[in-house]
Amino acid sequence: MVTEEHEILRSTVREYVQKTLEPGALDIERDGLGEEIRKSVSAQGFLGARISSDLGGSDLDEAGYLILLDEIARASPSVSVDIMLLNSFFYPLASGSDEGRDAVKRVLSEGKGATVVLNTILEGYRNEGELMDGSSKITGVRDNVLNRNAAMSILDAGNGSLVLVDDASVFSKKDYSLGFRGLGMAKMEMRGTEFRTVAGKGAEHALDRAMNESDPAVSAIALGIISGCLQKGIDYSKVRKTFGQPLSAYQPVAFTLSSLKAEEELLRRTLYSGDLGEKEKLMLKISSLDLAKRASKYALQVHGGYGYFEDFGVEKFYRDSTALATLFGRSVRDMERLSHHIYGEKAGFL
Amino acid sequence: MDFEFPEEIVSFREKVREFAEREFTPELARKFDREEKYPDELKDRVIREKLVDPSDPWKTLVAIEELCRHDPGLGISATVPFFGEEVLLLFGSDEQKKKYLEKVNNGEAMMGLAVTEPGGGSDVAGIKTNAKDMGDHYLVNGSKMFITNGGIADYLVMLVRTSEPDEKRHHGLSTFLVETGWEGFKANKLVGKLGVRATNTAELQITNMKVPKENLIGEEGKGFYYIMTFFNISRVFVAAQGLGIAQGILDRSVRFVNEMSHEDEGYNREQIQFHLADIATRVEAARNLTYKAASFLFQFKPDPMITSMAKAYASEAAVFASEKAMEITGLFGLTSDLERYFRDAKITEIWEGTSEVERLIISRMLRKAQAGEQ
Ligand SMILES: Cc1cc2nc3c(=O)[nH]c(=O)nc-3n(C[C@H](O)[C@H](O)[C@H](O)COP(=O)(O)OP(=O)(O)OC[C@H]3O[C@@H](n4cnc5c(N)ncnc54)[C@H](O)[C@@H]3O)c2cc1C
Repeated sequence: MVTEEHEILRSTVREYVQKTLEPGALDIERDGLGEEIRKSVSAQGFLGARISSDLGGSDLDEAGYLILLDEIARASPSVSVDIMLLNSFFYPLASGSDEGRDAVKRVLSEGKGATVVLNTILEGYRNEGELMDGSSKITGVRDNVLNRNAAMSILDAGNGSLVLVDDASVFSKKDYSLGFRGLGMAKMEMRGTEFRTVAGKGAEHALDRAMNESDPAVSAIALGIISGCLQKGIDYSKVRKTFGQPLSAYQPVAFTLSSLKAEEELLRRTLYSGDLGEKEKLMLKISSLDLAKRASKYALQVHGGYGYFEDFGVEKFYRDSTALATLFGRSVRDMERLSHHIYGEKAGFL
Repeated sequence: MDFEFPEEIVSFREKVREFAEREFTPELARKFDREEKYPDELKDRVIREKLVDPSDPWKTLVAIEELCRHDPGLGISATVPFFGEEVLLLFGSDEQKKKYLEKVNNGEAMMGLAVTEPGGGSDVAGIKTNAKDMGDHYLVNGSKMFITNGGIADYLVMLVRTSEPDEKRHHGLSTFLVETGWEGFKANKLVGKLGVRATNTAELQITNMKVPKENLIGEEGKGFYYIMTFFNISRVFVAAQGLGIAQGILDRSVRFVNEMSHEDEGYNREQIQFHLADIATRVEAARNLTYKAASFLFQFKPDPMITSMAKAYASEAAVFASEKAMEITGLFGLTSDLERYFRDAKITEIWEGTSEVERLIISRMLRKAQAGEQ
């Protein structure tokens, strides 16, 4: 449930986003999320939003955390995903061991990024083999890893264990990806790289669980994207004129933007209604990801030629909504999970 | 009714395909996309090997389709040097054709078409760039936006206002053949496009540019009509771009599913098969509409309604395919060639008349036809 305190948090974050993030949002897309931004996010206490205070985090409750992700994604989905990677993936996976907790502490105190290599549980992953080389080091490759500037990474070593790599140099040079260009996707190349084990077994299961538990966070980011792009679409449609009339005067424009907005409001109400069960959280994620793709496509279209250029800050939402759905949603797996909830038994497996 | 192309076109398509398979390597496509650079050499080779032959519209259409199938950015860049020349072909004087078209057709010079302005693209009649009649020349002032080849073309067909409109807004517009080397012409390359980044796009500033009277194309005041006639041609070629892009995405998606099915049984399940079937059906429907529109057009009896349907449908099929392909291929798609197709596909719903503008035309034509029957 959203309380008065949450509303205060929302306006604080919104002000920060408008003053600090929004003006630099295009640079984040072009040049990546630099240390300066991460430090500034960290100084606000946003980087470790959900992390317990004894590790240097802000210990926000779930609603506060979701508000933060939602508000930040309206300007920069990359920054929001950076926060989610640390809070919803790295932290829960690392916090089971002393070394892991230490790593979280360091990431926060130094204002650095962290990543979890989810590739092995994602759809479209092509087997790249085990990483264990029989010694105390790991060797091998994980391609297309999100957050190429991460100081620390957690990954499935391929033999059942989940390991922590504390070495940013394993990432290759900047690469290009469809979405989250602020974070970048790069190849991790490990050649006798030192690691620490954060879980000796059940790596795949642990990653799966982290993925499922991140459903509300992913929904919050999707809703931030939806809000960010629809607001741009609505604002633009009021001022852009064709044939002597503002775009908002035309039914297809006004009706489409309004119905997308209506879907957004219903989903947002659900997100902040509190006490959602696993099924509702999943339904919300599936619907939010789908809406993010539709809303960002139409918001781009409303901007005509201008929408096709990065300067207007709308095309990034179109790219990022697909990247979000691909990296943090699994189109078949999520539907299998949903069908299981709906049927009360395994369904949709042929 | 015969759905087969004559042997000459079939073998021509084969030749274009072989060229694209050989030359459009993923590395090359990636390089020009990342660097936002126009592939000059590739364009020269396409012209030298006569893969685009403006005198043969069916071959041009097939070349656009096949080249875009192999890479949209390179495919469009290589086939766009003639963009706009139909205005000159249909309405230009013999002198203009001789002076300009020969060079364009043999690859010595490049063309473009400048209609859109910062204030609007859909509303063509609303353009503000104006030309004052100074006796032996016109004096042109204004600006143009999003002009393909704008920074590299030698000549542009430019739509300008030569007189205030009367009761009809589209009256008083004229087309000029403009040389980009003239004083008063300035082009700023625009960067940071979502896709088709190998194409050159520019914003133009026109300040007191003198246009000789002999560079007026056709008659003064008929510019709107010429440009609409042009769009009825170019939209068929944009439909071919969309068709090629959708087909290229389908090729890659089917290949991916076949390869992955050896590793993961999930790729044999029905959900993925239905996605493939949906893309393939749209590709085929887009192909039929595009060829139908082309068939009418190339027999000199264009049907603007079918043309708009083909343009809107084929471009939406390309975007649909690009989105479904990302679902099918997941993590692989996000950093593979398919992500480029995803970004490139979207332009076809915007340029040469947005999907909304095409719908306006389709419904207008439908109602006109019905009213005419009564
Ligand atoms: C990469 C690129 C290359 C281009 N190359 C060229 C070129 O070579 N030459 C050239 O002249 N132009 C070119 N264009 C411009 C392109 O043709 C225009 O962007 C396009 O026609 C739309 O115009 P606009 O951008 O002004 O959008 P607007 O006309 O402002 O329209 C904005 C949005 O509103 C919608 N809309 C407008 N009116 C209505 C209505 N009545 N009802 C419902 N919806 C409506 C539109 O469909 C669109 O979605 C290019 C554009 C791009 C992005």
